[in-house]
Amino acid sequence: MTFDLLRVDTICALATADAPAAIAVVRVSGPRADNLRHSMFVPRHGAQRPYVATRGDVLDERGRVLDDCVCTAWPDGHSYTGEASFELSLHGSPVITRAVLRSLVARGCRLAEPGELTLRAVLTGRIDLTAAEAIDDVIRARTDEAARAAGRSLRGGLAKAVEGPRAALVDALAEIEARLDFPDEELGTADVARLAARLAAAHAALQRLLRTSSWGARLRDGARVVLYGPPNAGKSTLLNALAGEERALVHHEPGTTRDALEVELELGGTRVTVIDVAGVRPLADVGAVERLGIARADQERARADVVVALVPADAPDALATLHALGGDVLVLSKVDLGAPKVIAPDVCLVSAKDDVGLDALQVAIARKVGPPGPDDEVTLLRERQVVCVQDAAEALARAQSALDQQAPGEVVASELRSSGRALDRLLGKDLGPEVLEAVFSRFCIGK
Amino acid sequence: MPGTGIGSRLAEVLVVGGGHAGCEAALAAARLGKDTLLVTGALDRIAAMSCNPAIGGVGKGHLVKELDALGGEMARAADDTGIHFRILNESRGPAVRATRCQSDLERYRAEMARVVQGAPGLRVRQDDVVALLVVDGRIGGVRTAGGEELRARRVVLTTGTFLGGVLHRGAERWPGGRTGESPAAGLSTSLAAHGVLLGRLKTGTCPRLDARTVDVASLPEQRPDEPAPRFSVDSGPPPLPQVSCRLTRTTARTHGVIRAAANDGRAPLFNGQIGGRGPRYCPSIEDKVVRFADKDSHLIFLEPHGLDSHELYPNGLSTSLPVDVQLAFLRTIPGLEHVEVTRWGYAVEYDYVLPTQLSAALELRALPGLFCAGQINGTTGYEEAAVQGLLAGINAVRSLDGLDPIVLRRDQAYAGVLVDDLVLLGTEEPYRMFTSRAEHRLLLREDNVGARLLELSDSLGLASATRRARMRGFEDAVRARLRELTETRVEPSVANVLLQRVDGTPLKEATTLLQLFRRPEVDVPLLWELHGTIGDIRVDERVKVELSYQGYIERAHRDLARDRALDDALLPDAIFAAPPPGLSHEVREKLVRLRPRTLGAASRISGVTPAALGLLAVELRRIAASAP
Ligand SMILES: Cc1cc2nc3c(=O)[nH]c(=O)nc-3n(C[C@H](O)[C@H](O)[C@H](O)COP(=O)(O)OP(=O)(O)OC[C@H]3O[C@@H](n4cnc5c(N)ncnc54)[C@H](O)[C@@H]3O)c2cc1C
Ligand SMILES: Nc1nc2c(ncn2[C@@H]2O[C@H](COP(=O)(O)OP(=O)(O)O)[C@@H](O)[C@H]2O)c(=O)[nH]1
Ligand SMILES: [Mg+2]
Repeated sequence: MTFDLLRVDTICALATADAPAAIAVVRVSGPRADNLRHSMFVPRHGAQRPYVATRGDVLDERGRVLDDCVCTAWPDGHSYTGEASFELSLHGSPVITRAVLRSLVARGCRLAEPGELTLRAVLTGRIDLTAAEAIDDVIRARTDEAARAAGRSLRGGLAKAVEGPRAALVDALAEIEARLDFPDEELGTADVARLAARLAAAHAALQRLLRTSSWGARLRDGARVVLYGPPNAGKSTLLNALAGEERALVHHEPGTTRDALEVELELGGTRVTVIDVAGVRPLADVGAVERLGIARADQERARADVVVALVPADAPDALATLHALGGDVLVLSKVDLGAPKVIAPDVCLVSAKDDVGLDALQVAIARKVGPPGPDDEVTLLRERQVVCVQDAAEALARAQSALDQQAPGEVVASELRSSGRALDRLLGKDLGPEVLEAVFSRFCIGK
Repeated sequence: MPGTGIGSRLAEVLVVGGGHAGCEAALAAARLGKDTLLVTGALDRIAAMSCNPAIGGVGKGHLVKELDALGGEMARAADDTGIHFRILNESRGPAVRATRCQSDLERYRAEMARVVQGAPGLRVRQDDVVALLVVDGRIGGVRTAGGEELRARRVVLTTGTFLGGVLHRGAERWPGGRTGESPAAGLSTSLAAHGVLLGRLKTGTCPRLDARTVDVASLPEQRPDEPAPRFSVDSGPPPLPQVSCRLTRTTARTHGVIRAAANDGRAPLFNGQIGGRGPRYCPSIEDKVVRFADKDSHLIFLEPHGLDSHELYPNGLSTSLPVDVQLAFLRTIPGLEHVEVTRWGYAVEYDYVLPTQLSAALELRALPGLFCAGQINGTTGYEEAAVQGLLAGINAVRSLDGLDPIVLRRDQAYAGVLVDDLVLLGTEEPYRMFTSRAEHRLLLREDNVGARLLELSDSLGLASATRRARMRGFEDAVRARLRELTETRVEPSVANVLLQRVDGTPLKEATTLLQLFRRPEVDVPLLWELHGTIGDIRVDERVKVELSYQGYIERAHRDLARDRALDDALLPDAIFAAPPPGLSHEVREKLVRLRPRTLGAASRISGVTPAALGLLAVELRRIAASAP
């Protein structure tokens, strides 16, 4: 198990409990803490002073405001961990904390292992001052283990997904290592073309995993939110309202939207892709082009992380129709045309025209995008998993180019090992013995 | 029954076993100024090579050079008695490039015996040790077969394959540590009686051939490298004449003979007679023929035992088949049609101490003061044994002096990888060093041993001042050369003609030699041409490696800096006596059993989570805070 530590890299972690709460604290510690703070936190009034809780905006790496928060900074040698560090007290939404953590990661910060902040505190000799807090943190580290257990099922699928690439690494390492450690054996030359092809496939698989698996895609592109409902429900209008600009063509003629339109938006501090699709209605009533549009809508619905179902409030049996349609977020639209008679607690009432209920709708969507509260640690695990797969893919790419440039076997092997170690971090396994096993079962070695 | 104790004064360090581990341990202890006693079964078998007459190889050559840097004897003795030196992996990259030699087996033994017998402060005694003397839970000495009680403050056990040794050949089996030598009876029982857990392993060796009955001239020759590479920085050119090895190979008929014997139930390896686990990488010929049935021929190296010997060692033919089968299959091999055997191959099964019971100082936790080194710890190979012997000897002395043990880091030396693997992971087959066991392989090269170990060696003072001065001289020369290359500029008018020859991109403006030397197409001879003078080949090759691996080396050091803090955090005994609450049952059990020396070592134990490390770290702090 490799474990990064101390004064070399800068780490971040959620420091408060994982249940949804009024306030969530993200802690950042390490040599780059000050730089990170300057780049992502803009104090509301003047300059920030150490130790003083300061109000301001926290920005993502593209300069967009993620939240309005309170930031406290400690100089090197005077913080909880003993390193330069700062804390952001955010609004307690998993969506916001995730966005902030993700943006820290995008800036080169590493997600701390559970208990790692405390470990740093201990190793820098700071723990005496804050012993009580530290113990608390360690208890939390134990609940992290529970979260780990929860994440295990998720990892099971992942383990399957990286099995192929990992087997390719073991294969290539066995071929290379055998020749490095046993030069006097007649092993012939490795089939470099075969290895290169296998590594290329492995790399493609890792890339695919990052791109298409729901968690990978979500973290990269944000969640996919599809607006789904009958024609003329006001889907395109709602999209434009959410986007704050004219993106979709709006028309009272039903069936105006035939293809799907995707717009990237910022919702409640997190990035989402909202998809506006063709309205759904009985296929008998529609022409061939619209039929394709409807098929596409159903595909998008199947792929989406969050389905927002829309029915105009003034439609006959609006509420029943809406429930029949189903979805993660239910919306009665055009409420300006007349409020519904019965009000269901789980339904958002929205008028895109009069800007009614849009904030509440955003919150409702954001809540669905973020995992439910107790699952938050699992989310963090997921982000760590993504980082592991990314590291594995990068090292593998370096190995491929080394192989390609006919670098010495030890160099190729070194990159393959880094790639393998990244996957090992993900799976809690150890590649080493497997490589040796492969060497000895494949080659007749030894005098 | 009290021993006589006559004539034996209390030794400060007593070493049991005069093999490769024992010699290094005894020499180190004596040279570090301790009154040392070496007790071994047969004085005329000191430093005998039980198996092939060769030292070094990939991973092993690295160990020998590390041993040299720290003040061991094997490197120099091998240089002085070697009759065939080669560099392996010349073309496969500097980190796996390794030195190997064929030794004149008898001269090596004699040379080592001469040094041991002549070392000031080192007494030797021929006897078999049959039991440990334990006083108040600590080692107090040993009892010999002769009935003597030899008292000592520290004991180093280096008994090789002799613990409960049983030799096998065909249906025969007889007790023995090595052919012609009796096993260490009683010692296993004594260890077990003090709670030490033992396991069982096996290994084997080849028959030896009478060279006069081999058609040597008909076989392809493997020549040594010129000039001969050296293990020790102390060595000049080899004093002995250099000879060639011969190559031959098994045939379909060889395999037929072996397969038939195995099918008839005559192979002790397959008929259940041998239970111990053998190494996967050092299989007997019967193993190879049966397990790799599709391979119709195996390469055999015929290695001379020595300049004055008519014996050949057929490397690749380890076997415990019955003698008639050995002779039959040998005679199916080209060049060996009329061969006569001088000694038969055999397998040996022996007890070993499960090495996870050792501290990183190689001291048995169950019996403070008792150190173990070499094959007794589950390793195989002279080099692995020697380097452990050296470390155990040094650490026995340090424990007498109340100093912290020497524990090498995994990124510092293969010796560090070896010990760390043994004490943390243990081993279930004879453990041999492979470079692939080191995660920082690119840092652990033969060419940078000085950079890795000189500082430590200076503080130990075991290696002679001359040896350390030579290493320092080389490291200084490398630094000076780097500086010089940084400061020397070349004009395009000079460089481009030469670059053109290797298809290098021409220069537009003057640049430093260092920048040019970084380029893959610029090798050492071209550097000299660019420079207009000839440099020191060893220095420039080292500089080239540092330059071409700079990126990797820097990345590795970044990774390492992170782990360093963990490796610096020592875990006191108190933490294992009362592990902090909150650890999982599995983690608690492993920690108490393996007693990792540092947080870093704990982190390498499988199943120890970062959260568990956090708990340990907090506990560490608490203990430190409550200390007076
Ligand atoms: C049959 C055989 C095959 C081998 N094959 C290989 C191989 O294929 N590849 C490989 O790398 N290595 C092989 N080896 C291993 C190699 O020889 C050893 O690893 C190496 O010699 C171990 O060194 P050591 O110092 O631990 O023990 P040894 O060199 O075995 O020395 C042990 C010494 O202790 C003495 N001794 C033992 N018990 C007592 C006692 N009770 N009292 C006093 N003195 C005692 C013995 O007399 C001996 O001098 C083989 C060894 C044997 C015996
Ligand atoms: N009164 C009112 N009309 C709306 C509202 N939203 C959309 N509409 C109108 O409803 C019609 C269909 O809208 P559109 O967004 O194209 O619906 P879509 O087919 O679901 O995409 C257009 O004429 C819009 O102007 C609203 O909130 N209030
Ligand atoms: Mg539309």
